[in-house]
Formats: sequence, C-alpha cells, structure tokens
Amino acid sequence: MIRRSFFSRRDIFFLSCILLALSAFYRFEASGASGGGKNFAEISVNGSISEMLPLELDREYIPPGLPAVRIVTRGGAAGFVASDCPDKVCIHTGFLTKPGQAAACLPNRVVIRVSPGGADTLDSVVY
Amino acid sequence: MKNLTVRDIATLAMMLSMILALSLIEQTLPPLPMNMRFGLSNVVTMYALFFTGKRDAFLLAALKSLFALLMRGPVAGILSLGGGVLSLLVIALLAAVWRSASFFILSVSGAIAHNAAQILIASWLVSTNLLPVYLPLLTGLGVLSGSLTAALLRVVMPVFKGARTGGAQIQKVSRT
Repeated sequence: MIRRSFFSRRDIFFLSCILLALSAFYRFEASGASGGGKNFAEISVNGSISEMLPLELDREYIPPGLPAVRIVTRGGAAGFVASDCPDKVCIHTGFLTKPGQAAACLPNRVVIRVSPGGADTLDSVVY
Repeated sequence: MKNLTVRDIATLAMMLSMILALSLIEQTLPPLPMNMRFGLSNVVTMYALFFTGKRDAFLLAALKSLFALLMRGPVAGILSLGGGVLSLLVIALLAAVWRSASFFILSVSGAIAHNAAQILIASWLVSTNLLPVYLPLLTGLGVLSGSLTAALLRVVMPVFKGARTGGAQIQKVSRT
C-alpha cells in the first residue's frame, strides 16, 4: 500500500535550496563573463580543438573529414548552419553569443564553445 | 519474476502508445533553450513505476528508447535509454530509502537525473566535458519539468485507476 503525498510542505524547503544554489551559480557565471570582449568560437572535433574563430569575423568553417558540417561565425555569434545528423539538434540550438555557451553535434562529435579569448581579458576575479 | 500475462502486455502496449503520443504532442509545444524538452511522457513511466510495477517501468523506458533508435537514430536511442533508465533508478532508490518522499520530490529528482545522464552521455560521445556548460540549465529545467510531471500525475491518476478497475491489485493513493 502506497501512502505518499503529492506535495508536502517540506518540498518547498528543498525547492528553495535548489533554486538558491542555481541563482548563486548564475551570479557567479555573470561575474565571470566578460562583456563586449573579443570572444572566440572554440570548435572541437572528437575532443580536441581543431579551430578557434573570432566571433566578429564573418567566416565559414568545415571541420576536416566532415564535409556535411558547416559552422558559421558572423556579427559576434557562432553556430551550426548545416549538418548531416538525423535530428539537427545542433542547428536548432541556434547561434551562440555569450562565453560559456555551447552547441554540440553528437553524431559528428563536433562541439562549438564560446570562450573569452584575447590577452586583455581577465582569467578570473578573486575577492 | 512473474511472466508477462496477456493483460500485462496489453497494458504495456497501451502505456507505450500513450508515451509516444505525449512525445508527439510535446514536439508541437514551443521549443525550450538548447533544444531541451519537457518530457511529458515521463508521467506514464512514473505511473508504471509506482502502480503497475518496477519491471513495467523499466520495460517502457527500454521500449521508448528502442522507438527513438528506430525513428531518430542511434544517438537519440542511447540518450533516451541512459536518461530513462537512470531517472527510474534514482526515483526507485529514493522512494525505497525515503519512504515519505512526496511524488513531487521524486519527480524532480528523476527529471534532474534524466538530464544529467543525457549530458554525461553527450560529453562521452564528443569527448568534451559539457557538464559545466549545461549544469544550471539541466537543474533549472529538471525542476520545471519534474514539477510538471508531478502535477500531471496528480491529474491523470484517477483516470488511470479507472482504466485498470477489475483487478484486486489496485493500490490506494492518498489524495493530499
């Protein structure tokens, strides 16, 4: 016999703990992200970085050995525009603009990550 | 373990078709960030886990991922299997250890486990650690979709119970 409630008052406590941790994480993320700096699209294939493209430039990149995959950077954003994978999750992810964002094409093992590149940006801020 | 009876097979088939229909309905909803989904069909596996048996729930998760494998390819299949099985394991373990845990907490934990498993499998596939990138998103969305699943379960429970009337195995649920 199952005697289990759908929602108890205790759950509000757990929920607020999770949300608190989440908001703390977001604040931490926001403080680490550099605004308006020169960001790079870090493209890795099979876990190793194959290309770093500055987001400001209009460029197209086709990873070696994957002629069907096309990655484009334009106007401070980067994203997949073509791929031969079945569900096109990578293209639907859209264009990435902020450091820390990522798009992945799992069948082709290609990942785009936006990293704050350039020597003039801080690695981290410690209080 | 008991053999599958005709009744069990019919119930499983009905639940699987509900899962597939819910997945289909879900695709018509507005897309979430990073191509994530709400996982409405987890209502059915949650129901199976608690009211028709653990075996049924795991069978449904396996059948659902088999369907994903056939329709959307091997990557979708392995993601579906990993997420489905891990979330069921987490829910079943948590429910066994913590007898008074509410359906809400179980559902949210299951949803977070589901998302975490998928991100881990994705990280393994691309040999890149994606967990830090997706951690806040998977937790936030886990809370959201887990709450939705629990709320839906609350709504559909009486309907499901009615559909299975006729067996002595029906368990009582407290309606609080």
